[in-house]
Amino acid sequence: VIKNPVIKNDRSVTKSELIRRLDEAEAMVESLRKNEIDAIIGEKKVSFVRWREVEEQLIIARKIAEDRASELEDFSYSISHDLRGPLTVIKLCVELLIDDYSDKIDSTGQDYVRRINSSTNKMIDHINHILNLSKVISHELQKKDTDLNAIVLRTVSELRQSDPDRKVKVHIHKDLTVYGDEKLLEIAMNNLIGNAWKFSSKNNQAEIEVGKIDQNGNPLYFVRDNGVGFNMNQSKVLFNSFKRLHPDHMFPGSGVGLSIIKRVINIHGGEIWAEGEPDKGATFYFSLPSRI
Amino acid sequence: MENAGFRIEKFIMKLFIAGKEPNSNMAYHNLQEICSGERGRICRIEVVDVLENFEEVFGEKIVVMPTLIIETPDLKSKARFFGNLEEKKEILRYLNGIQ
Repeated sequence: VIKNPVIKNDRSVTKSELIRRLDEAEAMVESLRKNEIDAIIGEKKVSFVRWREVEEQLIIARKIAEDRASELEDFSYSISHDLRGPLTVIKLCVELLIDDYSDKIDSTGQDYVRRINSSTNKMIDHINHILNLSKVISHELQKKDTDLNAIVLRTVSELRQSDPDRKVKVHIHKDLTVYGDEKLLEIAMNNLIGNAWKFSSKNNQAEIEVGKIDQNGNPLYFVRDNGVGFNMNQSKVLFNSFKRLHPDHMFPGSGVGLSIIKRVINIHGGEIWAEGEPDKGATFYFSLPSRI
Repeated sequence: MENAGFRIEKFIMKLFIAGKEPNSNMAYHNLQEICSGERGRICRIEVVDVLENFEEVFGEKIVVMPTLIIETPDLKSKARFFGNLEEKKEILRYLNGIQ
């Protein structure tokens, strides 16, 4: 007959006995920690502990996932890279056609050539985005104090140069120094502000604001525009690769930009989310952990 | 002069294991190593598989497997070791301290 051990309130235990029991308990915990235990008894039951097994399976699973991810990176990099070569030749030939043969082609033909040209440019743009994405994925973080103001100013002046007809009011807050990888943050800010620029293009009084607010003592950065905005029920799919909320003829793009931004913010240990309203604009908020 | 057949039990090694689980196997293997050679004559190994012999754990208040209990026949000293006994040093130090 099994009797449960009687638990007595034992006050007569000597100090040395207590120390011995403590040492034993510590040794037991230590062997548990080192995964040297097979089973634990409790409630008259033997429960198996198979941490080592679980850990090994986890390691294998992680290895497989990493291999797949790196295969995918290599794949998308080489695809994009291989596509760029022939595409550059097509672009060159189309440009030569436009420059040197316009007088020999009738207007319908010229229209075709222009379409080939614009599609080629679009494709080059998409491929560059995909290349950027695979670069971001395989990039090793090099964090330092980084001046977001300078990056934003550079981005905006590039946008103004490439699109001189647009009149966009840009308001940039002061002191936007963050701790992060300058190259990656530049890619992210290029995309974020490029988006704000693009999606506010239907607004004659477009405004973009880049700044910082305080959230429970931590800085929260944001990029706001008064463009077409989006429906909040789509806020979850917004950051998926190749996801487009707007038709290409209205706002051309690859749908990779936001997934690049998210990737950059996430590998910095930060979060990004968006708030928007159709025809009112969008605000992208992101956090970046400060230097510890 | 040593007498090869001479045997005096100084330690009773009671190893509580859980079936053929890896740490239990390793603990048994390590215990055999500890009790090999000269020491074999003064150690007696008892293995209790708690999956087959569950009652035993109550007497000794066993919580985890593998657990090794080393006792002297006069019951004056008793020590417990946990895990796969990979760290033999500690056990050897204990045995040498008692002898």
